[in-house]
Amino acid sequence: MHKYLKKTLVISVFILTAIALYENFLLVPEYTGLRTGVSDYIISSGLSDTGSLNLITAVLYDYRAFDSLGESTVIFGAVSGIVLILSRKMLPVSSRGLSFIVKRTFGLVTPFIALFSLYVITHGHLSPGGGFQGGVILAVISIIFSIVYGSAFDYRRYSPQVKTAMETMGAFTFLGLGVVGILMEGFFLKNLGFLTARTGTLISAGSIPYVNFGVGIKVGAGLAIIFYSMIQKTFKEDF
Amino acid sequence: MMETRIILLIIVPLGTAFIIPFIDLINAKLRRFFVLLGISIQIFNLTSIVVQYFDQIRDGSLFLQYHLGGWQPPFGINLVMDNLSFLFIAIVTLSLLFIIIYSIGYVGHHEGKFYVLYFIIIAASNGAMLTGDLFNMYVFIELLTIASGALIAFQRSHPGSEAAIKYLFYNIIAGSLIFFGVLLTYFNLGTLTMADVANNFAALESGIQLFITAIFLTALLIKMGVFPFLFWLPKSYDSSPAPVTAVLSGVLSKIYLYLFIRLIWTVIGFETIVALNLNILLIDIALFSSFLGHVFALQANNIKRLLGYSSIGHIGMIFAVIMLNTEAGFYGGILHIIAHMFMKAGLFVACGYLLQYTVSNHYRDFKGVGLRDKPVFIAFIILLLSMIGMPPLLGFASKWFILMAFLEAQSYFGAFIVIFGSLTAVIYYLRYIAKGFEEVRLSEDDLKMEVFNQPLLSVLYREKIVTFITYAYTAVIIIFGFGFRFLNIPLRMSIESIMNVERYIELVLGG
Amino acid sequence: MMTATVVLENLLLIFLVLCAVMSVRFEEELISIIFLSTFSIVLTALYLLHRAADVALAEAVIGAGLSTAIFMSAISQIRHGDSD
Repeated sequence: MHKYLKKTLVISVFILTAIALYENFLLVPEYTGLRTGVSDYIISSGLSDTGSLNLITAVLYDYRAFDSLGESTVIFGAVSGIVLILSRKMLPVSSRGLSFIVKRTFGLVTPFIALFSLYVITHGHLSPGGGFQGGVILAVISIIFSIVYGSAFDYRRYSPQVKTAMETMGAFTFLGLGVVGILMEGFFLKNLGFLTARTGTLISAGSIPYVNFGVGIKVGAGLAIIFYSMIQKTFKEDF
Repeated sequence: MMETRIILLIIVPLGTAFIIPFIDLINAKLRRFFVLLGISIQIFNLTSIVVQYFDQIRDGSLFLQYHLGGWQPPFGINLVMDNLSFLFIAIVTLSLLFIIIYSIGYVGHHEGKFYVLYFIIIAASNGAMLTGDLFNMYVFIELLTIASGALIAFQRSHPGSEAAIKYLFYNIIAGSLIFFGVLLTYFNLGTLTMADVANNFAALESGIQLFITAIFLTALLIKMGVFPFLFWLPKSYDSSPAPVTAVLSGVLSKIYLYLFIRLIWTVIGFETIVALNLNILLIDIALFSSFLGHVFALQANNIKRLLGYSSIGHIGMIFAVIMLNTEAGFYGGILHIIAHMFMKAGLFVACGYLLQYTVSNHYRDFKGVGLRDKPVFIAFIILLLSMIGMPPLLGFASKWFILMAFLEAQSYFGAFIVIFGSLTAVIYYLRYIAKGFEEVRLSEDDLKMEVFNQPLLSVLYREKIVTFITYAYTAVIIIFGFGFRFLNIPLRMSIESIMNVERYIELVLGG
Repeated sequence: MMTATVVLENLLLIFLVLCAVMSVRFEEELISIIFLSTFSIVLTALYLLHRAADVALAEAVIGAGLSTAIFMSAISQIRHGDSD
C-alpha cells in the first residue's frame, strides 16, 4: 500500500509539473513575432566582422569566445575530478583486445577517422563542426584503441602523461591567443586582424582556426583521459 | 571605464589551473611554488585595483567594465565591476586565500588535482561575480558546480561519494533550470546582456515574467539550500574534507546570494517581483527555512552536520532580510554575509583540524577535544560565540542590524526568528563546548584506533599553519566586531549600486 | 511537401518520447543505454530537420558515440563487481 502511495505521489507531481510547463509554454510567443536584437546583427554582418563562413563558429569562437573558454574549462575540471576520484591503485592490464580480423580492419579505418576529425577541426569556420565536435572524434580513436587492441596498446602509444601534456597545450593555445589579443588588439580574445585572409580559404577568419585547434586538442585529450581512467587504472598515483 | 586588470582576475587563476597538471609531469615539487605565484599575482592585482580606484570606491562611483573580444555589450560578453561586486570579490578572495594556505598541509593525496579544482573555483567565482552576461553567468555556475562536486568526493570514501552524487544531482538540476531560464529570456528578448534584459524585461507579458522568474528562483533556492530543497546540504557538508566544507559554506553560498541579488534587483527588477506578488511568499519561505534549520540543528549529533543546519538557518535569515528591500535590510544582510562568511569558514577550518584527533564526527567522540589542542579550541569557542551573537564580536553587530531591519519593516515573525536562532544556538553550541572540555581517558585500543584513523599526511609546521589561519579568522571577527563602522562606507556604496539600476543600465549600454 | 515535414517531425518526436520512457522503464542497464543512444540519434535527425547542422554533429558524436562508450565501460566495471 505504502509503495503504491509513493508511486501515485511521484506520478502526480510529474503530471502537475508537465501541465505547468505546458501551460507556460503556451504563453511563449510564436517564432515570427519575436524581438531579434542580436541575431539580426550577427546574420547581417557576422561574415564581414569575423571572416568566418560558418556563423555558429563565428559566435562560438569570436563573439562569445569567453563562453567557449569556460565550457572547455568545464571539461578540464571534469577530467581532473574523474582522475582524482577514479585513479586508485595499480591493476594489471585488463583486456587483450578483440580478434585478428577486427584488429586489421580497424588498423585500416583508424587513419581515416583521424583525418575526419582533423577535417572537422580545421574546417570549423567553413563547414559544420569545430573544435568540440572534432575533439570528440579524436577521443574516439583512443577509445577504439582501448577496445580493439586492448588498453595496454593505448597506454604504450599515448600514455596519460602525453595526453595531459596535450590537454595543457590545447588549453594554453586558447588562453595564449586571448592574451595575444590583449597585447596586439587591446582586448582579451579579440580576433587577430593580421591573420585574416580571403574569405573561404582554409587559413582565414583571423585566430578562429587556431582557437578551434586548441579546443580540439584539449577536448580530445581530456575525453580520452576520462575514458582511460574509467576502464582501468594502470598509471601511478598522483601524477 | 575600461580596465584590463579585471579580466586578469579571472584568467590568472585559470592559467594557474591549466599549468599545474603540466608542472606535475615535470617536477611535483615545483607545484607549491606555482600555487603561491598564482595567489600572489591575484592579490597584487586586486590590491593595485584598490589603490588606483580608492577615491572612486569611497564615493561610490566605481564602475569598471571590460568588453571581451572588443564587442560592444549587446553583441559580446561584458564584465562589470561596481561597488557591490567589488565588495564581494574582496571578501571572497580574502577568504579563499586563507583556506588555500590552510590546505597546504591538509591535502595528502592528489595535491595537484586539488589545486587544479581549487583554482578553477577561484576563477569561476570571480567570473560569476564580474560577469554582466546571463549565459556567461550560467557557464561559471556550471564550472563552480563541477569543481566543487569533485572536491566533495575528495576523500574517496563511501559517504563522500554518496554526498557528491547527491550534491551533483541537485545542483545540476538547478544548473539546467538556470540554463532553461537563460534560454527563455533569450527567446523572448533576443539579448543576453543583463543591462539590456533589464531594460526590456518590464515590457514582457506578466505570464512569461512569472515563468522566467519562477525558474530562476527555483534554481537559486536549490543552490542556496532554502526550504523545499535543503536536504542535500548537511550531507555534503558532513562528508567533505575541511577546506572544501569551508569553501562550500563560506564562499559558494555567498556567491549564490550575490547572484540572487544581481538577478532579482538588476535583471528582473524588484518592482516586477512585487507586481507578481512573490516578495511576501519568498520572505515567508526563507523565514520558515531558517526556523527549520535551527530546529534540525538542535537534534543533530554531528558537529559538521550541525554547522550545516546552522548555515541553512543563517542563509534563510539573510535571504529574508534582503527581500525586505529596505536600506536597513540590505545593510544588515550584507554585513551578515561578511560575518557569516568568516565565521563559518573559520569554524569549519578549526573543526576540521580538531576532528583529526577523533574517531568520527559524532557528538560522543567530541569528548576531550578541547584539552588536546587548547589554542585552536579557544579560537573555535570565540567563533561559536560570534555565531550566537555575543556583543563585542562581528556576529552581534550584524544580527543587531538584521533585527533592527525586521523591526523597522514591522516583520515581527522575522524578528522572532533572529532571536529564536540565537537562543537555540546557545543550546546547541554550549553542548559541544562542554563536551570538548570533558576529561577523557584513552585505553590502549583507542590509541591504536586513533593512529589508524589519521588518514591525512601532515607537513612540518602544520599545527602552526592551522593555528595561524584560525586566529586570522578570529582576528577578522574581533577587529570588525569592534570596528564594524569601518565597513560602513563599502556597505552604503554597495547598497547604492543595488538600488540604482538605471545607472548600471546606462553605463553598460552607453559606455 | 510542408505536411510531409510536419508528419516526419511529429513521428520523430513521438519516437523520442518513446525512447526516453523505455530507457527509464527497463531494469537491464544495457538496454537502457542502447535506448539512450537511439534517443540521441533521433534527436540528431530532429536537429537536421531544423537545419542545425553543427548541433546535430555534436549530438551525434557526443550523445550517440562517446557517452554510450563511457556508459558501457561504467557498466562493465559494475558487472565485474570489483568496486571498492
